[in-house]
Amino acid sequence: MTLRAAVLVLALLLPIRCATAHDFWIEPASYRPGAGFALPVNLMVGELFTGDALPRDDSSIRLFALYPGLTAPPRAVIGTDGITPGGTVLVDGARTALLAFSGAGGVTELPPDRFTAYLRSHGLEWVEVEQKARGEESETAREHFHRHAKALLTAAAPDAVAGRVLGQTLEIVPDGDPTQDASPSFSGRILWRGEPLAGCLMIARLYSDPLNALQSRSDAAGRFSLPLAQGGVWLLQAVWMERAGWFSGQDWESHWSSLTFLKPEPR
Amino acid sequence: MTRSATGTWIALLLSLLAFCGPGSAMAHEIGESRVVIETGAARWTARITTAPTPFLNRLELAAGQAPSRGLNRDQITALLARFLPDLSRHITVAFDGTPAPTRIALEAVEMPEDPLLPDYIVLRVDGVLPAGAQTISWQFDLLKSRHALLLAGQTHWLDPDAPGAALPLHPGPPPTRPDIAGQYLWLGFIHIVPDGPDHVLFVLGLVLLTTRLGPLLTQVTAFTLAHCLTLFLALDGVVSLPSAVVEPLIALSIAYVAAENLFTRRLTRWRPALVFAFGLLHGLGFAGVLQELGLPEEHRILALLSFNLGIEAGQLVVIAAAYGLLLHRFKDRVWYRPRLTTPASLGIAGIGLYWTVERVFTL
Repeated sequence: MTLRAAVLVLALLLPIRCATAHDFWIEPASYRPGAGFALPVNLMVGELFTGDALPRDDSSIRLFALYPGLTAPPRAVIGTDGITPGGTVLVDGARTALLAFSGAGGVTELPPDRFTAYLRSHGLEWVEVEQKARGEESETAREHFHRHAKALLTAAAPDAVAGRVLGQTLEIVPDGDPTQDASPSFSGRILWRGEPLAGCLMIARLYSDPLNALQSRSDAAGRFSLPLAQGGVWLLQAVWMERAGWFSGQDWESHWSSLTFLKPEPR
Repeated sequence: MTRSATGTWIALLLSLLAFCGPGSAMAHEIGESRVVIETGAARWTARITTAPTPFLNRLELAAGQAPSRGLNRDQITALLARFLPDLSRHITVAFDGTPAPTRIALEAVEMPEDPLLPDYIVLRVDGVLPAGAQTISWQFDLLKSRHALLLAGQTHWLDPDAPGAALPLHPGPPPTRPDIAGQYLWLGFIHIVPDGPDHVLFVLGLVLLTTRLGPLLTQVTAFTLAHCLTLFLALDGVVSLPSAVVEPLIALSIAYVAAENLFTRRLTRWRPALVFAFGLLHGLGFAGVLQELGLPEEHRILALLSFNLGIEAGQLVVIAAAYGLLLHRFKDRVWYRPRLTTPASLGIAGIGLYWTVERVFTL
């Protein structure tokens, strides 16, 4: 089966507004830092690729590192607790590097209408169905959210580190190195606990045009493709949920994953 | 086991499980925006400090325009000036429930050359303060992360999209020492019952070892001394361990004490030492909670002692409940150990192991 045939839903050029949930992504001061550049790296929360930089919170960080190569050991993104930027890292600019973050998000409670709108905007209609089956559709939804983010730093040469699987609970893994790929498409996989995730809604926004989002759902092999025709900084994002454990005080555990990178202008 | 004994045990277990909430409820992600509201005799003023580009972008997006990126100070200033008349649509201010008109001005735009220093703008919002006003409700829908609002010497945390709550313009006098002691005593108590099912199960694990008072006192004393020690040391910054390490170990300590109950009915020589070591871990957990709650600068020791006393009170309530419901009534029955201690210890050990795995993978 070809990738094209495997894509369940073709990308749609529709404006998608976030209902209530707030996206999370890594925003370095530059997506193409030069050699020897001490790069400030911000952790952003917001909507429509417009966010606030979060002060670093050491207690919430499980992973915040730079992967300079496919097999090279990661280097911690260092920073001062309580202030922005979230961290700073030294890059050499020779080959594509991968920044990654995983950490605790927080807990939130949403009234039924806002929770439903959020589920629909992020392709989580199955949660709505399960809520109804449990008789919870008119109750306030209690959610514990977790954050996972990746960013690719463009360099002089491509590197397979772009497709490195880090083991994040929800992880976007691009095919090849999208920072060096000027073709008008993007393909990759979405993994849930290391396994392909089917039916996950992937949303892409261009930094210069965030109102017009592209979306696609992953197929049975967790694969998806998106027609990213324009060059510029792109944000890919996905959210997946599971029922909170028996001892949890929340109803749902959500995991938010994102990938930001600079796509070259088409030749 | 009699029906009533079984019923008592099931009721106890269910009541325990009923408050098995999350170990630590985290707050929303906190951004850098800040609102400071000052009141005078006849006017009020609010100063909003926030990052310029996202703020401008939200105004543009709200107006259906593509966001402007990569702007310099002059461009930001010019664009914000253009949007200034629209800003009042995004701010809702009411005194005692009555909406109040506002006047908005751009007071400062700072965009330092150093990329490590944050860019920020200061917006000034002001208006007439109605005579005798007691509360202000404030909502500004362009701040999209959790932020602080400072008013009359108090800090209020506002969540994005949440409806504006009525905040007191003239809060009462600062809390007295008895107020603080009572407040932290209560916080310590509810951290055990009902918010600390893990600590409750640990204490029940200690209670279930024997039916004698001596071993129970020895264990509880060791546990109390140890958790007091690390609570004080952790809050003074002398010891520190990440919660990702402490919380799974606390869960494992619950599994251990309960599992050991299955193999011995006497206080072993190592048990007090182990309970002391586990108490050190639980103390670090208590310290984590207290750090999240915060301590009043001027009454730090008082608050700390009160919190600790509250924990001890919670612990004593658990022991008293276990004594009243189980030990007092059934400790001399032949079935006490096989039908109560063993299944209860198995259950607690199972829950402890479940939490250990859960915390290893989620913290």
